[in-house]
Amino acid sequence: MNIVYILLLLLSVMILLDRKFYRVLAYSVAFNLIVAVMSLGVEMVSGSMLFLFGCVLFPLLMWFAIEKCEKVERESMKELAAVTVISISALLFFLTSIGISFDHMMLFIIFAFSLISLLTAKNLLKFLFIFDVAENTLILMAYSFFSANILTNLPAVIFIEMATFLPLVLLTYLTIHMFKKYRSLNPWHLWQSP
Amino acid sequence: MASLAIALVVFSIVFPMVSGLIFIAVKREHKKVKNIIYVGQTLISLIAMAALLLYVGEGFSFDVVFLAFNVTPLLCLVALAIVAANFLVMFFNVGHGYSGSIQYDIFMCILLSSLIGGVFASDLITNYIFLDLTLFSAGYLIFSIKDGVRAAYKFTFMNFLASMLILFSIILFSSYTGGFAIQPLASVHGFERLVLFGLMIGLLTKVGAVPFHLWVSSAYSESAVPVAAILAGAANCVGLLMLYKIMPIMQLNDFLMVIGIVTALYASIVSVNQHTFRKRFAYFSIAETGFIIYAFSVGSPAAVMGGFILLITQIFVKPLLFLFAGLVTEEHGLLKKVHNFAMFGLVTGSFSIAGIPITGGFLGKYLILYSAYLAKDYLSIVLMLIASFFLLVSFLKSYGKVSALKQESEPHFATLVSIFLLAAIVILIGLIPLATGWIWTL
Repeated sequence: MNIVYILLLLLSVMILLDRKFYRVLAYSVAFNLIVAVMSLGVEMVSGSMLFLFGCVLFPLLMWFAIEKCEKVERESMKELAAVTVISISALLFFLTSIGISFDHMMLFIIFAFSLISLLTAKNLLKFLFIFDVAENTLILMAYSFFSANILTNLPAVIFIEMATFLPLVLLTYLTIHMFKKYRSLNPWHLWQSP
Repeated sequence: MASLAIALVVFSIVFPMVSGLIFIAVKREHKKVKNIIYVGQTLISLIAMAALLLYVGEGFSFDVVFLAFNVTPLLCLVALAIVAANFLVMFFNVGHGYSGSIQYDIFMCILLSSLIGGVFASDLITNYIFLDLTLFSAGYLIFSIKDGVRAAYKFTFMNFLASMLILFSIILFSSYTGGFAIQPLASVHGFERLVLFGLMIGLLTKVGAVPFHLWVSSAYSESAVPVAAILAGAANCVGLLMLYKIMPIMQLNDFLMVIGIVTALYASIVSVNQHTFRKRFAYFSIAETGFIIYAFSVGSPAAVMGGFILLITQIFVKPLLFLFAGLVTEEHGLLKKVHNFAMFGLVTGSFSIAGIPITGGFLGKYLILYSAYLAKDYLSIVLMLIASFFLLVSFLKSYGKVSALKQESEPHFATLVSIFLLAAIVILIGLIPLATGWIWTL
C-alpha cells in the first residue's frame, strides 16, 4: 500500500513539473484513477462518484481547456524542481516529528505540496490540475480518517462533489477568458493593476 | 407551528433558486420585465422571512436530507436584513437598469438561496456547502460585467483556495469529533491547533480580512453595481456569521483580536488614498469586517451584541455606499433637485462606517469599545479610535469629490428611493435600541 502513496506523490510532482499539458492531463487521470480505486475499496457510492468526476468529467473539462488555451508551457521549470525537493523535505521533517502514520503523512504531504505548488506554478492552466490533486487528496483523506454515515449517503456525496467540482469548472471557464483577453496564462497578470 | 416555520425556512432557501428558472423565458432586452420579476421575487422572500420571524418562537433545529439547520430569532433577523437589502438593491436596479445574461439572472437567484441557507446552516459541512455555493455564484456574477474577468479570477482563485483549507480542516476536525456538529475538541494541542488554524485562515480569506484581502478591492470595484452591493453586504455577512458560529471551538481568540484590529486599522488608512469611490468603499468594507471580527473574538455579551448590530448594519450600509457609487460614476453626476437625497445616503453610510451618532455603526462600535474598556484592552480602544478617525478623513475626501461632479443626467426615482430607505434603516438601527432603552439593559 505504501508504494501507492509514493506513486501518488510522484504523480503530483510530475503534474507540477511537466511542461506538456497533454502529459499533465495523463498524469492527473492516473492520479484520479488511483484515488477512485482506493475509494471504491472503502465505499462503493462515493468511490463511483469520485470515478465519475475525477476520471470522466475532469479530463473532459481539461481537454477542452487545453484546446482553447496554449498547449505547451513556455517558462522553464528548473527552479520549481528545487522548490519541490525543499518543500517535500521540509514537510517530511515536520510530519515525522509529529509522529503520525505513514499513509496519513503521505496524504498530508500531497495536500500541503499542492498548496505550495499553487504559489509556485507559472501557468493558470497548471492551477486547475493542482486544484484537482488537492481536491482528490482531501476526499481520500476523508475516507482514510473516518467513515461517517455521510459517505454512504448518495445526495450528500453528490452535494460535496458538486461543491468542490463546480468552482473548478468556473475557474476553468475564467482561465479560458483570461487567455482570450490577455493572450497569456501568467498568474502575475492577475495581481497587476488594470 | 414548528412545521410551518420549517416549511418557511425551506421555502426561503429553495424559492429564489427555483424561481430563477423564470428568467430562461425572458429575453435579455426586456430589462423592465426582468427587474420587475426580481423585485417580486425578493418581495415574496421578504414576506416569507417576516412570517418566519413571527413563528420562530424560541428557535428550533432540523435536518433536510443531510443538511442541518438551526433557526433562532437572531438568525431570522439577519436573514430578514439580507432579504430586505436584496429587495432594495433590486428596486434600485429598476432605475439603474443593469441587465445581464440568463446565466447572470440564474446565478443571482442561486446567490440569494445560498445566502439564506448559509445563515441558517448549523453544522460544518452544511456551512461549507452554502459558502461554496456562494463562491460559485458570486464568481460568475463578478465575471458577468465587461472587463470583470480578472477580478472574478482573483475572487474565485483565493476563495477556492480558502474552501480547500476549510474542507481540509473540517475533515480533520470530524476525525476527532466523529461528526460535523460544531462542538469543542476534548483537547487542543499541536496538531489540533493546526486544524483550527486552517479553518480560521480559510474563513478569514472568505471575509476578506487583512492580510487575505487581495481579492476584495477588485471584486467590489470591478463588478456590476448590484453584484458589488450584495457581495459586500450580505455575502460578507454570511462568512462572518460562520466565523461567529465556530468561535466556541476556535480557542484562537487573541490571534483573531489582533487580526480584527489590524484589518480595521490597515483598511481605514489605505482607504484615504483611494482614487475612486468604489475602491474607497471596498476598504471601508474591509475595515468594518475588522471591527466585527474583533467584537466576536472578545466574546462578552456586550461585544457580541455590538458585533451583531454592526453585522446587521453593514448589510444595509455597504449596499448604500456601493449604490451611491454606482449612481455617481455610471450616471455621470447628479441633478441639483435630487442631490440632497443621494448625499444623505453618502453621509449616513460614511457616518455609520466611521462610528458617528446616530447611526447603527455608532451603536455597534460604542458597544465594542465599551466591552474593550471592561476587558481593560486600552490599546485596542486607541487603535479602533484611530481607525475611525481615518475612516472619517476618507469620507471627507469623498465628500469633497462629490461637489466637483458633473450634473448631466437625472437619476430614476427608484434609485433615490432605495438609497433613501437604506439610509433610513441605518439610522433606525442606531435609534431604536436607544429610544426603547433596551441598550441600557446590557
